[in-house]
Amino acid sequence: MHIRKELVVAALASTWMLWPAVADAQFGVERNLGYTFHLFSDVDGVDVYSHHASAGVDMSRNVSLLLRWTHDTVVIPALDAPPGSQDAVDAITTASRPISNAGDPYEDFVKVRDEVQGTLSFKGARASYYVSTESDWFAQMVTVAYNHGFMQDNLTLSGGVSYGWDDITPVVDIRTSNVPDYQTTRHANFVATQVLTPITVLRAGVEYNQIEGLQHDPYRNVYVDGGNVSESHPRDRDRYDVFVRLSQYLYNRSSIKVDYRYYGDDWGISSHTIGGKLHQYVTDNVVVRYRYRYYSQVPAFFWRDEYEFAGGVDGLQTGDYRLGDYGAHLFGGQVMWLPQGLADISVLERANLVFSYEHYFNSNNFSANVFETGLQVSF
Amino acid sequence: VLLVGALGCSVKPYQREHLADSIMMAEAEAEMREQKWLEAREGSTGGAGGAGGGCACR
Repeated sequence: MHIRKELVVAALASTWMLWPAVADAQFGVERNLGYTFHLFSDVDGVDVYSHHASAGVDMSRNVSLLLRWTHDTVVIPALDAPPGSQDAVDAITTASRPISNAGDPYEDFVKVRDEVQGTLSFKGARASYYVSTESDWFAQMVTVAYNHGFMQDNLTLSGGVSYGWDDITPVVDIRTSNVPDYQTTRHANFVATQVLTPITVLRAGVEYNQIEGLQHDPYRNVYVDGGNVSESHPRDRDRYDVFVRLSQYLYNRSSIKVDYRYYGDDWGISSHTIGGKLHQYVTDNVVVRYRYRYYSQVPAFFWRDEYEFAGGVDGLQTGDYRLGDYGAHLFGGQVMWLPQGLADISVLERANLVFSYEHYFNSNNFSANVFETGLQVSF
Repeated sequence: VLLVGALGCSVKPYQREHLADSIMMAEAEAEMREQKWLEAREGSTGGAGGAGGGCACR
């Protein structure tokens, strides 16, 4: 499997590098490259280091190819209590980890994920294939989407469907069973974008996800009726959301974007999310962005602070705080450098360099810092 | 949005200078990255118009 993946990556990368030499003679080829480093560090000591790279190329006037690659390294800290004890219960962080032997819990656990996505676009149509590999999770997804402009492109309608299939092979864990399982995802979305005025755009959409298969953490235990049992979630989940966003340009060279999302699913969770972003040019080449986001949800029907009776709720029990009742805040700032016009160098004309810092915290005393820096160039 | 469009809002291409400014553009790539880590910390999903699979954050 790994050889096949490397061959696919090599073939796609070769196409990206070599195709322009063929096509340059016929029309002006545009290529773009991007790299972003992302660091997520939470209060429980879980660190996620992510490297994102992208490369795009116009293969003809109507055909373009985009490749994305992501490499995540997740570091989950050592336990400071014997595995299985009350003190070692993973109640807050969602980053549960396997423990293969009695010595493991006292060492940091490191997990690596690689993701590659290739997207081929033809006019308004788009097809993509996505593959993600981890030590215990192999995910694939295909997507087809189409968008079309109406009324001189004042209204753009887009829709897409995806099908994902994941193979899950939990690694050895002394606390839980490691039975191979699967997960499938069916996704559909429909989005409308309307230009309202020369400075106002409205975007609204609806999404639906149907998930089947393993949906709990295979390494997480839950205390039920005084005992230690494996987490158990329903195997089916229907999820939907609707969202709307208004983007408004302001004449002091700033813009404001406000958005709202409602989410619901058949596990009983519903949530409201509101957010706003303010962009402002501070010089011709520097833009700052401030943002705030508030999130609130009600719990799944089987979520409890404490399970007092054997069998949980209809045989379901969870230690995942994401299924509980809580609110969360996210705020932060970003500085973007746009070097256009600083020098007569074409590669800088549509380049940008970004630094951002955001802080996330919720009513479960969970908090995290998120840093991101990235460079994008087109040539 | 469809209703608003049906009412006939019409902005000519030459009037869209501000809409093409980078501060008005959608931040699709950044939103996809953000959705990935938020999904690993919240019980909801969506809002970016797409889907993904697998997550090392779990």
